Amino acid sequence: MKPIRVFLFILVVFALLFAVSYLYHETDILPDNKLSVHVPHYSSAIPFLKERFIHKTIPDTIRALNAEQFDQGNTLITSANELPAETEKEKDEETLFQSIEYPPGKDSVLNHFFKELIAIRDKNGSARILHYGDSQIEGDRITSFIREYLQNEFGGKGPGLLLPGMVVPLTASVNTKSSKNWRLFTWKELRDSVINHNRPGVMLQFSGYSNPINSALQDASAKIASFSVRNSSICHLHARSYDLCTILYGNNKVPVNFQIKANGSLLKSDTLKAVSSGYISKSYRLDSPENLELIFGGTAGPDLYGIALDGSYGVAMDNIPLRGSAGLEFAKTDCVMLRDMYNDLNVSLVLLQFGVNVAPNIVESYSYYEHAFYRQLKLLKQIKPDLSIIVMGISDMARKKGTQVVSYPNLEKIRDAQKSAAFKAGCAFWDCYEAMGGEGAMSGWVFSDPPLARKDFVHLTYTGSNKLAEMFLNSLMNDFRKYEQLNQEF
Amino acid sequence: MNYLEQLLKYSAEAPLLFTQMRFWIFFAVLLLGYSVLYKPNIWRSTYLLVLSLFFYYKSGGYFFSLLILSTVTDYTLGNLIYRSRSGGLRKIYVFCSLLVNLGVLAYFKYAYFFTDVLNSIFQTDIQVVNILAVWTNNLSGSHFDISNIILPVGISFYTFQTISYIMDVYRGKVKPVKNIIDFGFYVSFFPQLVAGPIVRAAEFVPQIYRKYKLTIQEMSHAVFLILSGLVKKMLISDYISINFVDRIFDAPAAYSGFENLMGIYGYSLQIYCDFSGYTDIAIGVGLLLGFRLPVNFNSPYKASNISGFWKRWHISLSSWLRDYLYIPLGGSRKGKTRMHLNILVVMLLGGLWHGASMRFVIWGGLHGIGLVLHKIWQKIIPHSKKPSRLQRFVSIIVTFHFVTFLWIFFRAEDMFRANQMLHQIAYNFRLSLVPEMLSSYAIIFSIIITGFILHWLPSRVKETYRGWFIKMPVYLKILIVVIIVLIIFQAKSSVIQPFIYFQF
Repeated sequence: MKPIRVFLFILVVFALLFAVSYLYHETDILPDNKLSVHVPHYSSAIPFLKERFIHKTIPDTIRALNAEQFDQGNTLITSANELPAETEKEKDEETLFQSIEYPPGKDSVLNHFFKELIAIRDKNGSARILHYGDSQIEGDRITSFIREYLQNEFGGKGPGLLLPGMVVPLTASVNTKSSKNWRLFTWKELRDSVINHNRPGVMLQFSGYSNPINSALQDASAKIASFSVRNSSICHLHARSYDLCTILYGNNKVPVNFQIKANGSLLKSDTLKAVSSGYISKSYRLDSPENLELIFGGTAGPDLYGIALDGSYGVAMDNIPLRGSAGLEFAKTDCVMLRDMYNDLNVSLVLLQFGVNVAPNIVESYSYYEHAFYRQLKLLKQIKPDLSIIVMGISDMARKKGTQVVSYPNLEKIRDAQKSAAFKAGCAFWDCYEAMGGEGAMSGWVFSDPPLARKDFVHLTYTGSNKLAEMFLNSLMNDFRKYEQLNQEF
Repeated sequence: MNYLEQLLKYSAEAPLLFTQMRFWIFFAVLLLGYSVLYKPNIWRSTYLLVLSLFFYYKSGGYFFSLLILSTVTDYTLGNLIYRSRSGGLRKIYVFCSLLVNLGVLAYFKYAYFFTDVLNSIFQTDIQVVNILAVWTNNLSGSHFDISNIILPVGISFYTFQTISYIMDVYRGKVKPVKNIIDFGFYVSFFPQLVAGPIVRAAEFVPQIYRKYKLTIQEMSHAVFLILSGLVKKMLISDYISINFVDRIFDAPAAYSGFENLMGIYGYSLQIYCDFSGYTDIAIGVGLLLGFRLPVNFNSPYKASNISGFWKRWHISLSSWLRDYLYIPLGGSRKGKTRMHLNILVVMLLGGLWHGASMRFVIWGGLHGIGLVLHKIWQKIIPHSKKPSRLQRFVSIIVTFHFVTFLWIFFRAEDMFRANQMLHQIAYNFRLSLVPEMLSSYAIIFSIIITGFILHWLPSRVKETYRGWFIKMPVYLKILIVVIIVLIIFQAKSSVIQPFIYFQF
């Protein structure tokens, strides 16, 4: 056999592929909609004739950072403390700074929070930030970087609120282990009426192990339920230690035996009182144990709304991921309890980062979402009028179209809906989508070295989350310093 | 003109990979010229050398200069070794070759790794500089980034190939190649350049001077190899990695223990299909040009012990390590302890060859420990009779799981994530969610199961369907090729598996 025959073989194959492509491209071979068949377009075979995907370059503020600084726990601390002191507020081609946007005529919506920060720094005050989000913030992503910076700058320690049976038990800050009898009740159980009340608490989810009141937790065979916490190997410096362990619980008709162990030794044996309405918050002093274990006894346990590991003063910041959520659950919960918890915990800033679960549902208009989201923000403002709220808009997300990767077509509409809702409710807005680079940015984030986003083209990696968090902090601190300057002049 | 320029110039985002249509267009064009120049003479070697260098340039840019450096150095030294009568001088020439080849490899592949190790031991802050970029910038006014050393494509393969040539000339196993064009062709032959197999001079060089011979059966076999390679690489490996395995390894904590376990099994299949698929295509392409490249994989997960695994996995590398590292170190000739030590050293370095990171060294070391333990086991439990079917079955399962477990350390980005995977499997398996997960990941799990079934089919079954393909008339073969390409295209253009929320 001579090589020319091999060449002819390949040529015939190309000819047939070209013919199929020419005849069937853009038409459904199997038009019953049950199975879609993709046919290549011949131009995609010819190099450089067709753009593969929009490949945006990553904003310069990111490239200016040394990627290696974000790899290990120790170096993360260094970079979180070294944010530039002075940055430009306006979006500038050279610095590509993404500023926080305020409702027209209402630049002061964050002033209460800024005031609290000054009080923390100057008078050892304390304040809490709740960072609610969808799976984009799971694993303490984004939150951990912001928390470290603020705790280092203003004071504070501890990883914040945790729950037994949490969806992602290993985070950037903690490794948790829950005994098998814990069950987490999320917004889904609320929606599906699996539980017979609407009091999930401040985290919009709660955990339980055995409760005669709760029809989903009727198994009384377990004698104890345990929950242990240790630091993760990449935990930031300030989140590694904490002085206080606060248990938030309720909905238990009988008292519950409770033990707290630090590094294997019993620190305290206690009884958690019965709570018929509302909730109780009980705090225990600790000395930053390496391993903390909480043991709940009895066959009738409480609803656990959160276990907060905090410093005795300073900034506390909680990572509250709600997997699958669009951020529309606040209005479905008991707002009296929410109000009480927000006041008790001294919540002064709420960050809301949703949208990733809205995008796959592609519709013409997102006014339904705007109205629903506005209701949530209005409720939060009603339960705590001086609360500062920043809505962190939807991030860029991509999907495959044939062999190309393109951004979802509806992201800007969703972002605009979120922004309108925020402004209408008197909240600030930070545009994650533009911060990442806008349309087509996601592929650049996925394929950068090191990767800033995962190959599902939706979620950021730890490295990418830190970068986004840093950009957010740049603008937050810029606005804080301007507030500080203005108030010093008086 | 602009289009032609783009076509001929180097572009990092558009290398000539076997999985891209542009490679097959390149190959078709090459075959056209080859139809005229296929007779074994200097023109054939020149033609294939030039096109191989072009292939390399398209994928590796200005690094083809290193390929030329390696070629010129080893051709010259090969001749010097052969002609020299002094034992001492011959040793010096071998040393020079090793210095150049391993020096270039060490610099471009391991500079960051070595400086990190030095910096962490001595608390220094040594920085790396890309000297090649500095020189190129000074010479040609280009603007290459001097602070970033990029790994040149295929450097681990062609440097090992030229080292094997020098050692074989030194040992008298092979005569030096007649002229530098033929030698250059041997080093840079494009099918095996990027991802092996590592080809020995004794096997390949005689083929340069032989008449072109390709029977119809051999051509069919080559096409079969190429098709099965493309299916393995694109339908199985790429699909399950993009839609499943990569995500688990990126963020193990976001997935249940069951998903993590499936991710590990999936990776075991993925790495086999990726690597063996690519080398199958390389062997097929080489065969279409009339050159026989060595087999590199032989159903490795059928191995019943770890030593057997290394006789079936990346055969050209393990035999290279045996002949040029293990045996010179003394092999098994210097007592048991020395033999075990030699095995460990070889596997540690073999691990390091895979990548410039401590996790590859750990992976290699763990395989070394496995091999040593197997040697000790063989002494304690001698096999006097053939193992029963059940014994063999159990051995295969155990070996497969040992190898798969070690892949965690090879693939995980860092020990933090490797530990997270194991933690999730041990403490967050989520057995109750398995039925739901099976249905949500149905396509991916079906591909994984099918892949393993095909791997574990008896060889005679595989030979049978290979035989069917070879016996088919040519028009049927063409039809099958077209259908398979279209099926592969479905996988390539399928929607990305969305992130699945399982109710915990």
